[in-house]
Amino acid sequence: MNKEKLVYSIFGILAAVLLIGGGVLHVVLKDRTYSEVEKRGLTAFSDVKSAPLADGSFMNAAENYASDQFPARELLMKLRMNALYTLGKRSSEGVYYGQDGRMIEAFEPYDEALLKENAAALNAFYQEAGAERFYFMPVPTAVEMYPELLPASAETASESAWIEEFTKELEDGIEVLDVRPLFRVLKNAGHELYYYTDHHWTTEAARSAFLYFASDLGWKAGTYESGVVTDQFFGSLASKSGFTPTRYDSLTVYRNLDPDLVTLVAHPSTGVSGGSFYDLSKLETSNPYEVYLGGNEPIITVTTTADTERTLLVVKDSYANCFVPFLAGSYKRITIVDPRYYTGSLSALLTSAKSTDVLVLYNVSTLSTDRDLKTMVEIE
Amino acid sequence: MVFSSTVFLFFFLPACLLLYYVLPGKWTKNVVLLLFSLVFYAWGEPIYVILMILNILFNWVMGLFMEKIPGWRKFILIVTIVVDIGLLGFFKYYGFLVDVFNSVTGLSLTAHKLALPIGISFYTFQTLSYVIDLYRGKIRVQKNPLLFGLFVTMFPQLIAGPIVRYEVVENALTERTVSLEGLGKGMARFIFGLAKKVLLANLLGVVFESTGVQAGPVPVMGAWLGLIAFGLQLYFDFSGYSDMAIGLGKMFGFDFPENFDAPYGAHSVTDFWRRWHISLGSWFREYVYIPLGGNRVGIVRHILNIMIVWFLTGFWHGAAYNFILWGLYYGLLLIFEKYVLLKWKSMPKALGSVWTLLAVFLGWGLFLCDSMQEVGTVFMNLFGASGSGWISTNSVFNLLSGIVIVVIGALCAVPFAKKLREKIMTSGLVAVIPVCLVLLILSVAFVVTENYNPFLYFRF
Repeated sequence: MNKEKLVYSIFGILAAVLLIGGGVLHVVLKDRTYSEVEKRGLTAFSDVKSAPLADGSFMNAAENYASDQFPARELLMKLRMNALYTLGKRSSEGVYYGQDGRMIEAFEPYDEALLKENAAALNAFYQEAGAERFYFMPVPTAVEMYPELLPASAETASESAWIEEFTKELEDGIEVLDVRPLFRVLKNAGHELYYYTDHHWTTEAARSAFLYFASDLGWKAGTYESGVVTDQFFGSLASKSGFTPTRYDSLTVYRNLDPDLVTLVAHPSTGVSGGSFYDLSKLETSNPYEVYLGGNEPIITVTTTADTERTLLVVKDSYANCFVPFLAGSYKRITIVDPRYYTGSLSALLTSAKSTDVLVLYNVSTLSTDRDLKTMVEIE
Repeated sequence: MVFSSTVFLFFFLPACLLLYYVLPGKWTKNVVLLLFSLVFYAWGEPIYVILMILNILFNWVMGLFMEKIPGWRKFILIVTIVVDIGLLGFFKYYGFLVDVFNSVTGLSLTAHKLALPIGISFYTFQTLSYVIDLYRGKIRVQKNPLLFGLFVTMFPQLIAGPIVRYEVVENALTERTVSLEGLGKGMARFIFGLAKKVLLANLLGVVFESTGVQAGPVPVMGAWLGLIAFGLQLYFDFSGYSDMAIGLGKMFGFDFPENFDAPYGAHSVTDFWRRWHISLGSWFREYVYIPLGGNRVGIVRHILNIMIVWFLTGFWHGAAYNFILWGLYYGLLLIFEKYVLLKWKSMPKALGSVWTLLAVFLGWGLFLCDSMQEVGTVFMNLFGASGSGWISTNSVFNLLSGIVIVVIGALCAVPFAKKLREKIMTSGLVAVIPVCLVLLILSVAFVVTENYNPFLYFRF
């Protein structure tokens, strides 16, 4: 047998064995139900069996099943992402892969009309609430504070421009809490304001922001001890983009050391209440960030033994989840509302949770596209 | 079903190969291949598979009639051609023709938009080649419906070519060599094609799409980046698919004709069309150009013949004005070359190559669009008439993200790359195994983890 025939015969068998082996391995290995990396449920065989043939959905389900349950899928994803990265890919699903492996979510050009509508809604909220103090804290995201870490020539819209334009529309009685000057100082001093793999601000950044405003607003700074609850967190941006993170993030929680301050945190939607703002069981789930406040729920009510008659209504997105614990010493009652999940009206809320102070805390990226806040304000 | 999918690579093909190689007897092999081919087609067209089967039976029966009733041969041929083309025209061109009729007469008839059955342009041309060649006496009638069905539906070439004329596989249907060596050679060729499609074409497609050259105003740099990326994507997509088809054919003992021959190395547009989608060009030559008289007629008639063939070629690619325009564009270029440019015998090859690349890539500007409006956008962008300037930060970002794959693509598209591949496959044998394995693993990584994987030539 000549060399060519030999080599190709061997190769033919080898390649066939690989393909056959892949199929066999696929069938033999147990199916997984959930992908930690992609943070979604994986197609199950039952999804395939039940799909109709005539419109092609059986075929689609089968293709998804074959891909989802492929052996070593995560390893292959890593291989693919590394190959793409080598070829120069620095952006995926709206997330930039910047220097030092920092993932930064792009800020898309914002809708002017929506900006004005949201500002009007906030003004209406302010009027209706009739609170003594009404605070609005728009928090910029990493793309605003670390533009130099973006990949070369990456272009995004300006969150600062959004903040300027939005706050211009607001009534004078609304106190705008602008963290940007503080963040610039902290950044230059080398503090980590944002995570490498997640779109949230770090709890340290939240604490610094709190302390920055505390004396002016009459909030008690309090004494806290901090502890790292996980140093193997990789977050929303890693999942969304598919980029392989080069480092894990750490999640930190803060415990108030004042022996006289007792806090009760009640979650009506889950029926759970306890003494802590943190739900450590969430660290084992696919979304460890939910350790803060247990995640996003329609309403959470906090009652404390703080020596004050002041009460607070917080209307927020997930950025407030790591911020609220610092307010425990300053308010007798805090009602935390997430308009994305709360389906009631603002009026009903202001009746059941009438408060002396109101804090509206959002990150700019989310608020620039949000419609739930104004829906809540507009419902009769 | 597509070749670059998990189901095909790890379930369909292994099962087919196992049964094909293990079960004895050449009839079993043919039955296995036919059944798998029907499943392959039905996977993508669970309803229209019946249309294809009826079409096949019709053409097979008409072939028998032609044999049995020689006096009626011409009539039978005409009926068959009318029915076959009529079916193709109905599914593919009905909507377009109604639109044209409306715009000419001012009426507004509605056209029900029918989904185009996958591969109909390819399998129709194959059945036509059978009846026409049967009429001409170039081939013998195929009395066995299973063999005829196999000729049409063989899954390696069913969906997207090469257009395999009946005379090419006539003998192989019953007499062919099936060997492990053929399996290996076929696998190697298949893997090269898979890598072209999944690693080069798909990634180039991302670069093309990121520039948005046909969607709105784009700076000149971004527009040319998009055009070049598209031209490379289309080449690797289609030639990759042809490689996979030829490789698969080889695994089953068939020798399909080559469909691409390093087309971007052509030194004239005439030469380009001898290297790009060769099986389509030769089909039109054989069944339209030559019957019309080819070039054995006066100049005026010759020019008319060329324009007819190229009108049809463009129209075959898509039921839209921009494809017709693309075809006519080439008709004019070929006439120009035939009667003017190529008279210059000592034209430097380099000049010819530059001329060809320019002509071909500008032609892609017509081809990549979905409408004439998009054509306008593309060309305004290419020549700086859209008011977006020469360069922008965003187009620099796209360039940085895409330049590596574009350069790799360009390097793989030159004739030298093809020679290199051939060299690896014949004399550098030791390299075959590791190179193919690496390409296979990398391709599988992309196939398994990306669920959306369009093949550009599908709806033809």
